[in-house]
Amino acid sequence: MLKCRDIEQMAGQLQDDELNWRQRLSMRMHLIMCHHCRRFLKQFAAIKKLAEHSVSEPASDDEVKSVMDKINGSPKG
Amino acid sequence: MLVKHYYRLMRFVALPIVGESDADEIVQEAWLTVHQKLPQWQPRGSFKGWLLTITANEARSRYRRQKRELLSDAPEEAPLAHRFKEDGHWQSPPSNWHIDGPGALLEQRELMDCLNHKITTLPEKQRLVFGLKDLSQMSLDDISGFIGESAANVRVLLHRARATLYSGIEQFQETGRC
Repeated sequence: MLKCRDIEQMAGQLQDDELNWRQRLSMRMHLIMCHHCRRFLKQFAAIKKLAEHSVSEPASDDEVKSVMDKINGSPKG
Repeated sequence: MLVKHYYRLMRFVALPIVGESDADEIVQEAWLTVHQKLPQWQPRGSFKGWLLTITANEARSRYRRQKRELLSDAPEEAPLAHRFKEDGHWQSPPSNWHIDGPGALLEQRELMDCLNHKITTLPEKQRLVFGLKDLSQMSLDDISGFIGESAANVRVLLHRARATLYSGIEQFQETGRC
């Protein structure tokens, strides 16, 4: 029977779809009984989406200009 | 528009590989490569993944030329290990974040700033693995080859990065402090 610590360790593999059916079944059995782990998995899975958003601020005009200058200044550009 | 949208993300991927001083130049080089290779792009995978892989490859080439000492990653305890009792059950269970779902969380400006800070303070190797996997969607095997670590180590680094960010968000939700 999986412990909560196992669920924490496997959370990433679940997110990345790397668990086999036995592992998924064991996890599901645990989750039926453990609301802490249900909450944890839900919150853990949100990190990726949040992180993606947090590092995706639009570039400044200067940064965009530096790229356009690079492209326009290249021999093949 | 594409440059504006993806520049910071590309810079984020380049940063832990080449360092602060060269990250912007790498992004510019990557865009030049993208511009030149665009006719060859096949829409099998995501455009973003392609873009970030090009960025990572540009950064890696530069890194090899520089022979920069990087990617330090001091050994540390697993970020959430202290949250469990000896019997493997939660000692300090996950707190209620009060807001349901990432959509609502995204609207919290201060939370996003805090997360950004937590990401930038991850150890370099963790930050790189996290960026390549969760932001670039590179496979674990590819990341393993890319940074020269075993797939098992890559998995550990990735989990530590995610768990550290999880703890950071939880702390912010509980205390309002980053």
